[in-house]
Amino acid sequence: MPDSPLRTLIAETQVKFTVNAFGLYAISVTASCGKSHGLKVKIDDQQFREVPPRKNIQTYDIPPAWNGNKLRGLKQTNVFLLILDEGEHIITFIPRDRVAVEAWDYRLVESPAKVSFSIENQAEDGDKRPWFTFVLVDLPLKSITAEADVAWHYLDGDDVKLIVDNKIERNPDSRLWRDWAWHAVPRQLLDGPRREQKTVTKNLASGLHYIEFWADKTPTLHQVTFDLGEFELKRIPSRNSPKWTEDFNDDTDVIILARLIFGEARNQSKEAMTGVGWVIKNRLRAKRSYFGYSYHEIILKNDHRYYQFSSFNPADPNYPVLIDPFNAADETTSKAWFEAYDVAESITADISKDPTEGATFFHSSDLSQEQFLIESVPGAIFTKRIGNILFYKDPNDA
Amino acid sequence: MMRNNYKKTIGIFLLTLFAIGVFVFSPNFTTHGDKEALRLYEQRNQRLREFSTRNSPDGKKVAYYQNKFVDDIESIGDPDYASLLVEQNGQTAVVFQDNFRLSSFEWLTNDEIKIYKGCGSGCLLSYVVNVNTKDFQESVEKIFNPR
Repeated sequence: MPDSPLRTLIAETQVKFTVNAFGLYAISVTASCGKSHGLKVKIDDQQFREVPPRKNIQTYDIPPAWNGNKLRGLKQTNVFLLILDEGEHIITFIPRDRVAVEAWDYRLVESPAKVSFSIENQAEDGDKRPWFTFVLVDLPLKSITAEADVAWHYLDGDDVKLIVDNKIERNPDSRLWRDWAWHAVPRQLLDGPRREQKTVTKNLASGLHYIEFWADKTPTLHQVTFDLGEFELKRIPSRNSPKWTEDFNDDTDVIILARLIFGEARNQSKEAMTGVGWVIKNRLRAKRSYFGYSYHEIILKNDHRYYQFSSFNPADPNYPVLIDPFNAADETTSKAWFEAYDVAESITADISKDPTEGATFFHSSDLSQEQFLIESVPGAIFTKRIGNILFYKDPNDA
Repeated sequence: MMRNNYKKTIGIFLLTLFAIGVFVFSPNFTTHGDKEALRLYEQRNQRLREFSTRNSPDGKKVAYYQNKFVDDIESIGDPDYASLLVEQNGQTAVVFQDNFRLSSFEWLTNDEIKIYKGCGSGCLLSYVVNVNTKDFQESVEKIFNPR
């Protein structure tokens, strides 16, 4: 856990931290700021904006940020729930003018399906303002259960408002306090504080979700639990963490294509790598059963003996580095992986142009053109040579 | 295609010695970074050996892959990047070499190994190598039928 002394920030500040295991983490930040000041945070490359997205991107006037015009010097705690890979990460604090970061820490969530926070925090006295915000990153949300208590203080009472993805959870039991899920009433001057647990079912699909608790006066929040439903913690390989999950089906289209390019052409020029990647995309566009109908189907095609692309053969000596490109641990191989990934990303995003003139086959110059056309794919139509890779169109295109 | 008397280069000799633990093939490593690169290379080759080791049907011979040290990615395309080594009668010899596209291999008999080599999309070469003479026969495997 990081040291978290009270710090006044006036400039962007990056803090590195290391987690020892892949998992779901809760990163909690408590900060305060005065009128016209603000704070936003970035976690690795994850930045936050309004939900749902609008034309003009908002980064300070959103639930996961601290907005001094709303806080007026009071504290707000934001808890970011997100999946982190083992290793080093960076949290970036980006203040607008001056903010006080009172504390921040992170912890591994032991039971990801049902995430509980024991909060036991009484709000500072103040009018209707953000108090706790939970930010669910790429997570589903079945329901929220929260327990709070509210009391009446002479002329005014404590209230707690719950907002999920910018929509206030209405209180069906009260017309006067319909925006406040927990609210005190005058008779509590005699009865004392009232503690109440409420559950709100949302059934939200996996995505970015903001759950806000606003406080009016001095309520106490005891416990908050998020039921993530059928959520299973599964790592998705990425550019910076490409190690497979032991199932290529967990790869995104970009990752599986990047593996193919890396496995088949990592010693080639960027143009040749792009050509190899386009062979897969052209097969996808061809919509032919013998090629397959998805990136995964095309790339993993095999007859239970031979793989179309030999580097995907589990007995191939390239296989260990294909499933874990950083396994080789040398700089040149890592660089080749990043290049393969970037090429794959530009192909799947329709940014790059096809340098192969529609090819659906390629072979290296290890094989002669004559051998390929007579023994490998008879009738294939030669389109282009890039480096030592030769490209061909499907004989059925003739 | 037949090739007799597979050319033994100094590189093969050094790699063979390295494989049997007699000698470490070290191309003038002096700085700390170079030593680290060599250490990683040795680690990778050890893992590759464990990953690829296959015994002959009679259990008397062992074959496995080793890679030569390279410091740029283009060099994995060198024709001597990957070597198939066979241990028999207390001796280790390189029986076949090619670039990084060398794929899996299987013992056909106690004297012959079939080595596969990827060459593209639906393109697979194979070499049947005699581990005693190092003679080999190349074939193109028919693995794709666009119908």
